Amino acid sequence: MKKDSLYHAIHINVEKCIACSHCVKVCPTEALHIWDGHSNLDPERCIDCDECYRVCPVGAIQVEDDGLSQIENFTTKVALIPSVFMGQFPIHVKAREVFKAIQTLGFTYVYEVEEGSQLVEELFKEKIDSNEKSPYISSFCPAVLRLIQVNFPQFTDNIINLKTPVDITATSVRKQLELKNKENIGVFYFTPCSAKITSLKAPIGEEESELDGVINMDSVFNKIQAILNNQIFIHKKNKKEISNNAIQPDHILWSLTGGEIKNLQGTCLSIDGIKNIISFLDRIETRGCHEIDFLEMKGCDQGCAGGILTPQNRFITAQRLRNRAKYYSDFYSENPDKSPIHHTDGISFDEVKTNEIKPRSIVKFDSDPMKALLKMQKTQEISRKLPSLDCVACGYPTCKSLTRNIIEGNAELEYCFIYQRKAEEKGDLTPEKSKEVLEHIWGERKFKQ
Amino acid sequence: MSGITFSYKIDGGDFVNAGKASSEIKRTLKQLNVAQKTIKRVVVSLYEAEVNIVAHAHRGEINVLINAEEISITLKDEGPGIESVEQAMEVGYSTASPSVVSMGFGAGMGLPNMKKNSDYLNVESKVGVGTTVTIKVALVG
Repeated sequence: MKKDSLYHAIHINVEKCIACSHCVKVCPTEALHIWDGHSNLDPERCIDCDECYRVCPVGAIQVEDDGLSQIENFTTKVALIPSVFMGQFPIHVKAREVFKAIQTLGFTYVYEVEEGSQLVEELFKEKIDSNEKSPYISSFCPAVLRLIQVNFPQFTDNIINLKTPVDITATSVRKQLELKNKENIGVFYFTPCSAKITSLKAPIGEEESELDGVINMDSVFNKIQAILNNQIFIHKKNKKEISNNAIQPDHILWSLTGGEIKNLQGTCLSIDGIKNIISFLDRIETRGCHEIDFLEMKGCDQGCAGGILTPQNRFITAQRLRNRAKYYSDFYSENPDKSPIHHTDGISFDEVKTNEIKPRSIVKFDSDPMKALLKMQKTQEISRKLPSLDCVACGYPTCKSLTRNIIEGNAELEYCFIYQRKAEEKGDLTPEKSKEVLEHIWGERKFKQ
Repeated sequence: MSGITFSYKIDGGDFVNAGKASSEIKRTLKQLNVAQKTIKRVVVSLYEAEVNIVAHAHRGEINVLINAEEISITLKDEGPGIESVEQAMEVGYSTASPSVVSMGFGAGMGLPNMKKNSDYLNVESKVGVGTTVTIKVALVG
């Protein structure tokens, strides 16, 4: 898949949007604002954290879904299943059954994403031992990587430039299947969030993704559930191959909070939730953090179990995965001969490195510090005229955000309804003009009732 | 061209809010697209100085002036003052109380660190009255 660096899997359905501003208020990078009676997304600022999706009361924030039909373009159809998908089912549902159900949907092979975790874990250990940087930052969560790029450019250097388990497993699976002379291989990942879709279409640190497509977890869940309920598996001779003993029990927990640092030595921290991550990074940016060796950061609360495309409750999912990990751990200790096989053993570290992740600051007022300084002086002037109320009535999340957009020429002081009153008193603005401005922001709909 | 100014009040002993001024100034420098390395130097020295006020003084004030060439920070406090500025500049010299040290501060690295990370450092102190620290870091070149 080719690169389009401003692509996002999230988009706003302007027909459905009621301009309630919930999304505008929660966006951690101030990427949303209201104009023309609906929410608008600034692709430069969006980091794919999905916070807006969670709060939309009318389902107007939608995730692009390429659907199942896309797999028909390939002869050999491979499904890459992250553990968190297994966590959508109770423990009594066997992985084997779920995999058979996935094959019934049309996939030739099913592999587990966390096969690739073994290699990633080994490299993490090597990096921590080298002690060259503190802290090292995991490259796991694409929303976190984008957050660092745009808001904390200083830390781009600390990110371990390493592919994620998904991409590593995809590479390894493709190699294995090519050795078996399989042709026209299409590798599809079952995704728990929009950030991973964006990563496929606009990879960070890679020219092209290892994946051919993404299947949204929520869209296949019902189909799989129906197959499981009705036990309508399709058994075809060539479709029997299932890989379900290639993953370490600990790695079942990889995508949960704390999953990456479970077997790491040194001072490792795991942080989840995009707001928690922002406040932590802000803190260590000021105070330094020489005592921390490794940072695991996952944008969603409970890690991927909290992804917006996972149908089940995140806490239940996490608990189920812990139960599954325990089950396999017990099973392997009783049956050491059946221990997991590492399909990624033959892959070298060089093969799984990514390019450096470059800063892409959205914080700066201007690339030229002189111009930035002038803009900042203007900002101070404008700020004095605004009420510091952060009421969102102008369509922007904060008075600061409105100020920035005035400077950039995207907005006017008159968008602020308190400023309007002051301007009307002075005779600089008529009440009719004020109303017109607000109608432009919030849409005529809101003024008709 | 005239610069831009900021001012912050600091309370002695308020470890909860120690670092807030540094954090805000850091944000400003990021907005001004100052080079990462320069921001790091400013923030390291400023944070040390801010914590010094919190750890040692009764109260203080931070005034910041940023223009195209440099950032100039003056930290003025009312406090015990420093008996020997020369000694305080030595690595490892500290007069911090054990309770302050137990919070992870007062390792005697404050002033040496500030000197290392700034282009100009001046410390003026009167025992029993207070201390004024001036830090300057060039923003270009």
